[in-house]
Amino acid sequence: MKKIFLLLVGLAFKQRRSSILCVLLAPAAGAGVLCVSAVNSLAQDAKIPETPENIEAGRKIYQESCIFCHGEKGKGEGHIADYLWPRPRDFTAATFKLRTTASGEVPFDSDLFQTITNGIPGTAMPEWGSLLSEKERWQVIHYIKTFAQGDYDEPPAKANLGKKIGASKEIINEGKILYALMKCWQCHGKEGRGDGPSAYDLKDEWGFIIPPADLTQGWKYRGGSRVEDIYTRFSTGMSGTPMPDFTDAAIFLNREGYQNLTPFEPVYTEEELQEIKTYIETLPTLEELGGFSEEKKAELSNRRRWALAHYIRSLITVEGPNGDVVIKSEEVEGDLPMDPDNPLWEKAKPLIVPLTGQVITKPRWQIPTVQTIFVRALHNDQEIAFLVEWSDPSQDTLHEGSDWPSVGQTSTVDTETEDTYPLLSRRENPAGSRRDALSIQFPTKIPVGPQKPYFFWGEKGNPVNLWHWKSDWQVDLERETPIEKFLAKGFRQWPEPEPPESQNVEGSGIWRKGQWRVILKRSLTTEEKEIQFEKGAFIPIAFQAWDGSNGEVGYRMSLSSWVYLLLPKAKSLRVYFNTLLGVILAVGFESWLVRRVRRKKN
Amino acid sequence: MKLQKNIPLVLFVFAVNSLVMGCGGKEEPSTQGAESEGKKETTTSEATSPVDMATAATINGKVLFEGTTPKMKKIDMAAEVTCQQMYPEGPRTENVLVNENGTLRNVFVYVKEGLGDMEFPTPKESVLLDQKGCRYYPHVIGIQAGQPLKIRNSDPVAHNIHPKPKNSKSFNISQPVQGMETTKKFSKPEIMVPVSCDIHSWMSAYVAVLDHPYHSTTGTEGTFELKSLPPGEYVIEAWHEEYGSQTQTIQVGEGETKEINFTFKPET
Ligand code: HEC
Ligand code: HEC
Repeated sequence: MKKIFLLLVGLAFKQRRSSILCVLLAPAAGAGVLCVSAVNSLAQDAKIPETPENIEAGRKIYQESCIFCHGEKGKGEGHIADYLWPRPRDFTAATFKLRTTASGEVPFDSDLFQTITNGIPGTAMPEWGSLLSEKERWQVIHYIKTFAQGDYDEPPAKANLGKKIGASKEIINEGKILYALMKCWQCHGKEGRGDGPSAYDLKDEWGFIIPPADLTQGWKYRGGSRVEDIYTRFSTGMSGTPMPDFTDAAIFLNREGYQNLTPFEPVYTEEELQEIKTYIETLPTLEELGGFSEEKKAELSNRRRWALAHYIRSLITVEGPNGDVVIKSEEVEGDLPMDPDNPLWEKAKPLIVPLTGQVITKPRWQIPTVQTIFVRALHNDQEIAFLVEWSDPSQDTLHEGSDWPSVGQTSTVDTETEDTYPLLSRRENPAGSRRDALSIQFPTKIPVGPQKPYFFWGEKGNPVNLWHWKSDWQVDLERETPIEKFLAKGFRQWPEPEPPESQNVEGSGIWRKGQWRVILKRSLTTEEKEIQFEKGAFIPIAFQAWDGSNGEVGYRMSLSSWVYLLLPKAKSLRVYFNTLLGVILAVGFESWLVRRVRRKKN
Repeated sequence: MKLQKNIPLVLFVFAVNSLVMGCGGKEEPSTQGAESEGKKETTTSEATSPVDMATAATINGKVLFEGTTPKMKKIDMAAEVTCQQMYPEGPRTENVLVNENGTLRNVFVYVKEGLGDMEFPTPKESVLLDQKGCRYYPHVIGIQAGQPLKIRNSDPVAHNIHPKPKNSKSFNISQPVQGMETTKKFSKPEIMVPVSCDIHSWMSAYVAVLDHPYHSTTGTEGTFELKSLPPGEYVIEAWHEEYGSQTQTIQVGEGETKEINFTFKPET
């Protein structure tokens, strides 16, 4: 990993383009691959001609900027490809997700231009709009097309994209029914959390597993989350992936086609089915449909697709991570709520924390289920409670074996195990034998300056505590708490449970509709050698998560970097600012370190 | 198409009708589902063929299976009750289907070599690929490049049709409505284009895309027939999804009918 890390750092610096840094350092630093880009509006006709000079110029740009991911031969096998998920595109197949051309067609050059300019959110594909000039972007497009010569000879057919229809309550409601009728839930799940009945066996055309998008998390939509982007995605399909083209389906809806509603029954309630049935009555019969003119059909399809797009857009209920790193705990009177539905929780603003797969030690893990968690905190004068929420399509509450793959082996971590690259279906890891779990990590004392422990389980001499919530303990009624506190002294040895007398974290969790909501609670201050929740201090906090049915156990997990917890001091703003200053200085020091490394490299 | 230019050169013009009939699933279709449709779909044609029917030859035969019949794996269709109901004994995979008479089903037999640069008209009538009981019917089909492939969803459940051709353009379309039909084409020959449904990972079919009409898929009797062949020497290939392919070279004279058999044995 060190080698790769240096390679990445080196490459990033070679580029002398710091904005790529966030992407490249992500796996190493656990910082989350989240360089979200705004969708720029583009001058599409500024295209430059496909001359040998421009192709040659494109080749140079490619070798400088794209090769370490997309590979020398364009096969998506660059040096760092094995550390990325999803993997970089294989250009030799001429198969692209983001197009405005019909299903199966190659993209327009302007589609590629758009992708390269904006990058692909939620993946390692950077945004090149600020790094390459417009001309350079066209040149590199001419070059990447040479990897699949012949495939671009015929001009592609444009997708059937119609005029935009605006949002209204009525149209969103129609979209909701269409989501049912077009059976998007089959993959994306009823609530759009990516937990449909067919969600687990999906593979892309290169044989790698690909989960259906969690539609509530708009910042990870590959092609952007504007309603126009959404409309385009399901009107063209995302080639190379299971995500199909629905244009014809939107035309074909008819009354006879929905005589048998059995397939809806496991998913939709009696009441919802009634609503669906009422809508079906308004659909044309097959015979009527046959009599419609082409224009009428196109109009129908277009209206339905906009309705669906507006509905999908309405599913995006939470913003993406916005660079915030502080969980601000809110003070409440009386008991802290142990029920996530308690309206008191709405008082606290959630911090959105990105998690990435653990790739620091073997076995590395690039396909974690949990990539984003939402954290809130509330405190009273005695205690503090955290509400942590995350999407997980399956509730896994059985666990075989011990906490870590080999508890007790404190000094030997299994470095022989091969890295597991995701070739398997998630189903092949039998569900039920591994639990879902979450850890909240704290240093054992509030650090001074930038002396935080290592973000992955601390280090020797600078240990951390893990509040480890376990789903199997959650459902075990004999247990007083589903949470066990561990002490970790670096990732090279497994964390060790704290003695029973110092177990002092309470909690509870529920799983509903593809989502875990877990509460963890402790006294603000204790007699133990552990973190004391002082008001006004910025307390480092980090998270790790495991999804059992995804085969996640031990090092197969996702983790976050350090963020901060703050219990505001009611009155004295001065202390607050002093500590804030401390944090700013610390961050400044870290970036100074990075700059120094950079200078050395150069 | 180049073909159009060549048509005037063709001396004997026959309706391709009989020709296609000779190559389809005919009297023993490989699967119930395609039976009626398969015939209806392929009987009307105005296209022309370069073959002199007066001298045309036929190659037919059987595909035999030797060894113990492997037991097919169970498919867990619990998620789709409407499909599962259609299999009283429980659904199983269809990779290897051995008939009661010891022949092997779903073997694709076709002319691999020997037609030289003869060009054949592209049939306008479509070939049907049906989805019924969360399965494809037929499981193995042949089609000519450019010939319409009509894909139908006879199930009340959603399917998406996601073929993965190497030579032609791929596509991935959704059919969430019962009765929905979509027509697609493959532009270039290829043995075999796998077809799958991402929603139901067990579904699989194979489409053979050829530039001529000489192909036949074995059904419940394990027989095949390649009709209306110009006299000559041919390499005939028999393809099976588990057991790979075998070829035989055979010569047929004017108006002749010759029989060849293929035998597949599971490797032990
Ligand atoms: C840090 C690694 C990385 C670098 C550098 C990178 N890419 Fe990518 N690229 C990716 C990944 C990963 C994907 C696949 C994302 C996905 O499948 O959602 C991708 C996908 C793409 C796609 C496919 C979009 C589609 O519609 O499917 C294009 C085009 C592309 N990259 C172009 C480029 C170009 C041009 C460059 C250089 C200027 C470049 N990339 C540099 C990682 C990278
Ligand atoms: C066969 C399974 C399947 C079905 C059915 C399906 N999807 Fe998807 N969808 C996917 C997969 C897989 C992805 C993720 C693709 C990726 O990450 O590149 C996806 C991604 C998406 C995205 C995200 C686009 C982006 O830019 O990342 C949207 C929006 C979407 N689907 C909408 C729909 C709608 C609307 C329907 C129903 C009309 C639908 N999907 C039906 C599998 C499916």
